[in-house]
Amino acid sequence: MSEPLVDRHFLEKLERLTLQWQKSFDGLVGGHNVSRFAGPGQEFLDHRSFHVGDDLRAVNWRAYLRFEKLFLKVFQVEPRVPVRLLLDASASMTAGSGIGEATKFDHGRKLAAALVYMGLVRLDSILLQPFSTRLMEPFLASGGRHRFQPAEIFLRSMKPEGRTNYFEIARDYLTTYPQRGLTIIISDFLDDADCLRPLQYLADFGHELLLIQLWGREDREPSGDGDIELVDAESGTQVKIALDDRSRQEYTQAFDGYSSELKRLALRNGGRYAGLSTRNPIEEVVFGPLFATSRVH
Amino acid sequence: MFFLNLTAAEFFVLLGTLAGFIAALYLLDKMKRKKIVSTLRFWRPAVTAQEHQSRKRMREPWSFFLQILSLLLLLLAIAQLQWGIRQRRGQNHVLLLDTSAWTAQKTEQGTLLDREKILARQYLAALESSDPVMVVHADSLAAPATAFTSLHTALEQAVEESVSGFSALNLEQALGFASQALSASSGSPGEIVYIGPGLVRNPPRDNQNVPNLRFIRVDANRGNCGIRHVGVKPGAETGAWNATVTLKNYGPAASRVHLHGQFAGYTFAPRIVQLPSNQERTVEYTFETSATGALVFELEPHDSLSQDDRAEVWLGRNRPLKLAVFTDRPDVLSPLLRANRGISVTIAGTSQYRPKPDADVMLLDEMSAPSTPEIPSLWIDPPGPKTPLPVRAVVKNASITSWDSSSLLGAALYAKDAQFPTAEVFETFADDLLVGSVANGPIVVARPQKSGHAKLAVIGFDPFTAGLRFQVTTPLLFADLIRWLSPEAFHSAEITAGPVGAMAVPLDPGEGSDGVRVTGQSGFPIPFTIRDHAVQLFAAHPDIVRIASGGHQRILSLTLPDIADVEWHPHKVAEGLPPAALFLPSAIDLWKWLAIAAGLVLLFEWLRYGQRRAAVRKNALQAASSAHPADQDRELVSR
Repeated sequence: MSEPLVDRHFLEKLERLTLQWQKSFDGLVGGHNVSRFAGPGQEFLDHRSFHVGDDLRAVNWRAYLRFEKLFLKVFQVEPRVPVRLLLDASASMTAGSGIGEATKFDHGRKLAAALVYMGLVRLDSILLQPFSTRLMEPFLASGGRHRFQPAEIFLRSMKPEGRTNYFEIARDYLTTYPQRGLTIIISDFLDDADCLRPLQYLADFGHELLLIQLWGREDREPSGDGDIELVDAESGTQVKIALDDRSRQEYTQAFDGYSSELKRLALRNGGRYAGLSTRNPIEEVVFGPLFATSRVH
Repeated sequence: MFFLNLTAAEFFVLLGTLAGFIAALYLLDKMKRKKIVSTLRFWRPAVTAQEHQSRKRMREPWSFFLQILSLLLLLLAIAQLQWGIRQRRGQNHVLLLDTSAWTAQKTEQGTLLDREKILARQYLAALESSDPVMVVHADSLAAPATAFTSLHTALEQAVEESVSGFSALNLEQALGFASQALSASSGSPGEIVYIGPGLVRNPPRDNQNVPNLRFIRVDANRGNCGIRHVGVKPGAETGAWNATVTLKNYGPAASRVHLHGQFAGYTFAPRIVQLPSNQERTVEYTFETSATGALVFELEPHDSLSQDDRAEVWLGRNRPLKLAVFTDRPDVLSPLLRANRGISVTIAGTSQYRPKPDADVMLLDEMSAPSTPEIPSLWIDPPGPKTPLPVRAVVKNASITSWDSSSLLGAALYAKDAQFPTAEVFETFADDLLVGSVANGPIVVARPQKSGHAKLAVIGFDPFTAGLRFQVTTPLLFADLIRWLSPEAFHSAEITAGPVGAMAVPLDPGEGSDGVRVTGQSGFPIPFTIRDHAVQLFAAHPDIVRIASGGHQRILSLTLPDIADVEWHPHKVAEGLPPAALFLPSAIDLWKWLAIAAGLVLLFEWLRYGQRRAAVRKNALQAASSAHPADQDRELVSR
């Protein structure tokens, strides 16, 4: 893949967008999302009773003179929230696309590049974390838009391989990144084992999930007729089936049901979900469904 | 029920092969095809039911059955399945249409050929429409007018375009040709049909070897008298001619005819000739004339076959060669020249020279002509400088070193011992013929006719000097040169009017066969053979043939029709037009209906199964293309 993941014209459009999150995270000042956690900010938020160990500089002495009790002024803070982007680099990301369509992996890399650029524009730090069976070597993109090129090079150097194992990934992730933040997962979420429970673990540990499910045409609307031997792209498992209209309909219903479960999981935990087809151009995706669901403003 | 195009074995082999191919394609469609997918988790619920269902029954067996059925119907159509009896399907017939001289006979409804054409059309109409027929025009040669074809328009056109010939019918050759054509054709042999009067020169020896022969007779009026032959020979005297006219009565009853003769505007007294039945009579004429013109003989009264009632031949010159001699020593030349009865000599002085005297050839003796001769000329020792050929040198006491004995110019000239006191050696050019030469060059030269100049021959010495006048070389040299200057004067002509067709012209006993040339009226050579000392040739159409052999010339005016006089009575053959029922179609073509049925089955199969398959693909594409808007709606709602 020698051509750039996103072109200049598209990057100029991305300048107007910002990555947003819904949850309030604590942290050091420097972000651009207001948090409900109090901190060393400039804007007054509330009073609370003084406790031992509180900063005496925040005591409201006027209130002490009046009520002879120590009250502490609490200020609103816009903390710097870690944004981590998990990109599925398993073998299944190369399957399921129709003829002439981009693979899910390529589509995911472009989408990741667009999100990284949006974060860099707002001086956010975005951690690119590819995964398949386990978490792979990450890349931290930070320092503004002029640091986008290393991130793009990192994305272009990735190669899809291995099986997806969300349990292992969730465990590694929670161990490696204990600080809560926005977790963007770009994947087809097609793990033979259950991947809903690992995602629930991530949400339970306080991470805000933005699940971006990618699918190719064949993933959702399989073509073909008659007897076909299906081979799993990750495990190599083979299944012989007879394809007909009914079986295709049942397949699509099962796929849509699974996507609905993913969406419910995300929404239930205060996160968001976007299901994207690889047939749609990346620009249309960012300014379309992703813009509508992901609070990308 | 039978196949027209294929045998049963071929049909079943083809059917088995193609059905196997279709079944293989069907099975190939059923064979497991590998497909790499992202996950198998959503397939599992469908696998069990579908595999179970697949094992229980074939998928779309009716589609497979309909395809096999349409294939079977198409193959039956290609094999041309027919319902009926195969006995006389696709029989080839040969239609021999008589175009001999007899067919030009006039009747009340036209000619015999017109009647033949009507019968031929009726015969073609009676045939089964798919039977191939070959139309053959039969006279002295059988010439096919069409190939075997069932196109009746082409057959009727060939019948319509047939014209009467001048030759007699060679039925044996025509029947042989028809038999060969039938045996060489691919279809089963049918009938050989002869339509005509059945009058032949030589009847076939045996018609038993010709199977399925049908004779459709067209009755001819045999009451015909005609001229069979006219022969004209020069008589012994100059200008005398002997003519013989052979008449024949072809009819069953005796007849009395008047024979009228006419030559160059003069009419002979009519001769009354009594002709018995089937007999010939010869009438002789002797007359003298120096004119040229057409000699015409005509029979009266005319009968229904008028082609042989009139004969015409062209008579050329029958007189001695006129030789004009311009000399100042007539006493020397006169004995030599007057010794030949074929030469009429006129002697005049050199001062009386005229470029165009009333002669065929002029002889200029030791003189220079003030103007160029306009007729062929023979020069003897012309004095310089006005010689007809430029003189290169004058030699003395020279001897001949070579004669051109290979051509007629130097025929019989071999003597080389003659001594010439003086001789002129000429300068020659292209096309000049060197007759005699000395060591220094040619002294006897002939120059062919060129534009604006008549033939000329030059002798560069005086052949009447004391030493030469008594040698045989001198008269031989004169004779050769004068013969070359006017060859037609020495030809003995024999003029004959006869019928077209094969002809054998016997050569005279002493006449060689090496130099025989035969040319037609157009001047092109006619092929011939010489057998038994006779020139044998064939003319299919009226022509005037010239047979030249040395100094002898025969002119054959082959303009009379060759009237055959033998009636053919075949044994054990079908006669007359066939009954219509004989050629009624005994089998019905089914291939059109089979092809239509196959098409309908294929259409039904497509409407029932193929269209559904296409719709499935179309729906899949539409569903895939509409995936994004649906997702968008869903996401918008979830937001």
